[in-house]
Amino acid sequence: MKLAGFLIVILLPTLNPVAAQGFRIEGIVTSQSGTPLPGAHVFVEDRQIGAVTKNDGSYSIELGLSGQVTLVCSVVGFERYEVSLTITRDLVHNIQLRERWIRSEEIVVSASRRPRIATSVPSSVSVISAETIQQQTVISLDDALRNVAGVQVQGNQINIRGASGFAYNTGSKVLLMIDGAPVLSPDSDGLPSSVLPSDRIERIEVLKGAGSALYGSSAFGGIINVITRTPNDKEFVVETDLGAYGRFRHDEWRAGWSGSTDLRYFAGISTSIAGSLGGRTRGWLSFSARTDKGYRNLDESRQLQAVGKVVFRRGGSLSGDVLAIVGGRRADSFLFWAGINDPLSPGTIAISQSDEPSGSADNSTNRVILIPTITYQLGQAWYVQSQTRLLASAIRPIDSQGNRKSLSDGTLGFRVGTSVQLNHIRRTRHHFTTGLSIDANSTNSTFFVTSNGDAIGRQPEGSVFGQWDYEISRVSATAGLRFDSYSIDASETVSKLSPRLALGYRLLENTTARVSVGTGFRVPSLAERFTDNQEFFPIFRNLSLRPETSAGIEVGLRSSRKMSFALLEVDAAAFWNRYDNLIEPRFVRSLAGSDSSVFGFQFINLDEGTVRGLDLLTTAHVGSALKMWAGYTLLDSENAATGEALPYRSRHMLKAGGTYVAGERWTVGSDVRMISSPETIDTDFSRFVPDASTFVPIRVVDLRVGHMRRKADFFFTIKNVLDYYHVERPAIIAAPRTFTLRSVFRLNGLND
Amino acid sequence: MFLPHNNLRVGGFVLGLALFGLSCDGGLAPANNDSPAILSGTIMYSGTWPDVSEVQDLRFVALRFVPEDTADFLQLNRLEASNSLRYGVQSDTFVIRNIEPGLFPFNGVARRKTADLLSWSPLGLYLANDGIIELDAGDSIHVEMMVDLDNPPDFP
Repeated sequence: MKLAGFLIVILLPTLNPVAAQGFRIEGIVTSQSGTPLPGAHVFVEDRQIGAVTKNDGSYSIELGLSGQVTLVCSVVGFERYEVSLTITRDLVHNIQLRERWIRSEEIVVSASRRPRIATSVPSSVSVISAETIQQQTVISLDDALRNVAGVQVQGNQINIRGASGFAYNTGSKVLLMIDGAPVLSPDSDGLPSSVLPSDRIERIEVLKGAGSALYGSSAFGGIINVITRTPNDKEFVVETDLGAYGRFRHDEWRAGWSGSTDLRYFAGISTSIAGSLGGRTRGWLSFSARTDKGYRNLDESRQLQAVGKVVFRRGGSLSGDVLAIVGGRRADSFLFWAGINDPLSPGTIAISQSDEPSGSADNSTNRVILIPTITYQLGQAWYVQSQTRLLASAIRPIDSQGNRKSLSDGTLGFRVGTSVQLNHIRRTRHHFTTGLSIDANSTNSTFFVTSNGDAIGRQPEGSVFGQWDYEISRVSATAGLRFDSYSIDASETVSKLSPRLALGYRLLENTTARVSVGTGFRVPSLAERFTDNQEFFPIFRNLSLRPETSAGIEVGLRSSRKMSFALLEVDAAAFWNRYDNLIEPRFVRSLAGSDSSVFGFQFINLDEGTVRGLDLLTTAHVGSALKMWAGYTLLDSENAATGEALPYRSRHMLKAGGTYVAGERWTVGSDVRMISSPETIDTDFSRFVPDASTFVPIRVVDLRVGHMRRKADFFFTIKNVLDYYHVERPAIIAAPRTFTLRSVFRLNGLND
Repeated sequence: MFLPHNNLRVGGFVLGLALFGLSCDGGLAPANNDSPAILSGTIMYSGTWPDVSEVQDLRFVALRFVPEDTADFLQLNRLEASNSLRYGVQSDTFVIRNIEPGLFPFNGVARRKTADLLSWSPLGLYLANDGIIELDAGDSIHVEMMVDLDNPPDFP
């Protein structure tokens, strides 16, 4: 029977669910006074099963098993609830929580490939909740990450703890996942601007530090895992965003582009419907449309997206879900400005023969993502999980008349992969995870000249991994090991072994020390290796590019203390990472050409670099109404060859924020970011782009107000309220003061 | 006892102070308000033109620095370039508008020899006034220069 179940998992990842059996736990979570508690995490310990309570405090969990389970409930401001239940039928279990000032007990899955309480994980991890996403009127992923301590956002590129500089849109050193599946296709120029409609996101987990021991190459600089909502009861939600960019105050800037005085607005709408599909099958479907006029010339975008998720249970042992994303986007990409005196216009390379600005590229992009996941319970102690991912993207350039060019002038990329993961739970504090993963990648790009001389780059990869988690008394330990093998265009195979060891020790009741050591690596992206083009900048391929590797250690302390007026939480971490063969672009004499006067950019391996630093995050909960936090990150980086700091790393990052809940209906808050200018920048880029070395410290303040009604929520934000002009990445000015009104209407559902 | 509402006042005060401090600096701003200059010129050619396949592009360029070699020459951010000039003519003219004022110590006609965007080298140098062109705010200066196609200047 177990073998049959295992085969089902392997062979039928898109199994069509039919009338299902199994059991359900449902109920309402309230405070001692009987007030329903929305946003509480209710989950079955050590299983991939859980739910978040809705506005009326209700929850519903479909169980794929019977027998003894431990049900856990946690929410900020209340004591953790834990109960052992024997499941032999559907069960109604209401939960009453005792109020106390307590540290957040958020759930994360990224650190161990299974749900764990964030504070029990011996790693640095941040969680962006759905509540925060709504309050901050987050539209894009970079929007969400800007206020995470230790994370430096450079447009669509993310730098966690200085692992990456600015990569010129050729790849990401941070792994992006949706529901645990990697979704960065090989042709990605960075993180996609909009992954999912914001109301479909349950939370975003940010794992800081190399995650190669669990996730392989792409997790060199950290992990971002977007967790989608689990379909619950009937729900119909309409969410609208309306906003506008403020007018730049400098006459000289406005003079460079007549459109700067127009209303530069953006608008979006998403409708989501959720409900039962019969039996134990539930799902949600979301359609969204968005348009953005942009605050720079040739920087407009339009997007249509459909996203759906189906969750099903079959029998007592089989469960699964399928996430599908289909979308199209037409956008100008603003690549670099015309200069500090005309930052709203794209620049032109002085001696290029094109009349079109080189600093902007108009593209049409279509993407399909399909992620089926199946979990099969093999008795009380074992379960196996299989996940398949299919990614396809087609990027077509748009000519000056607005017509889409042929796909042969653009880029077509595929990624197809699957992973099988076996979990073993021995008692509740002992967990072993092992699995294998294979992926086939292929990208056909007009910018590529591969080792075969054609435009099709391939990078199939395979891996086996294992992680052992052990918790007893005061000690928690994690040991992980992963073996990866990558084949690059059939000409070269790269294999890496990535170990990681982490230990946590509870010094006091609310104080835990942790230490972790591990290695990371990253295989060069296809774009870094094969791009060979003269259209924007002269770029040469580098077939001898080697993987970049890292080895690091982190020591941390997590503590909470109840004061007379507040609960204080402190998370401090010191880290040291050594990087070898770091991949950075440089302006070099061509190695390939016979003409010695041929120069251009090329991605090369630097010899060695180190990044050491400090992360300090403090959170204060004053009663249940006020939460304030501040995070400071110190980065000290060094290129071993030159003794200089590594480029585009800011030495100081201070981020802070606060939210005050006034009664049951109003919230007000603010977020502040202060980031020093990079100590060094890439001077080669400045040869071509006017004022590309111009940076100022980032000093941005956002203000937000929220108003919650029974059937509607309204959130209004003013981002960059001081209208402080700055750049996050070279030669691209960041947004001025920006106003956003988000309205969320629940037209049907449990509130009725 | 430190009551929450007292704490709010302190928090508000600190936030207000932070906002005031932050608002003192507006961040990036235009580099200067000098009126742009205009540089125009007349170029007289003598000698035999190189084969057209070796003149992929031809422009008058004014450099804000003296290049040491080809790699050093390729600082496109520190030069002003005219539109493409005509091939095979005896004389030509150019106009470069909206130039940020400054000193240009190395000027002349440059050609791009191959399809490579960066394969530029000088075909003739502006030698009057010790080769220096100085543009002040609002200036409109016209220069004249000779290019001996049979004797291009040495260039590392």
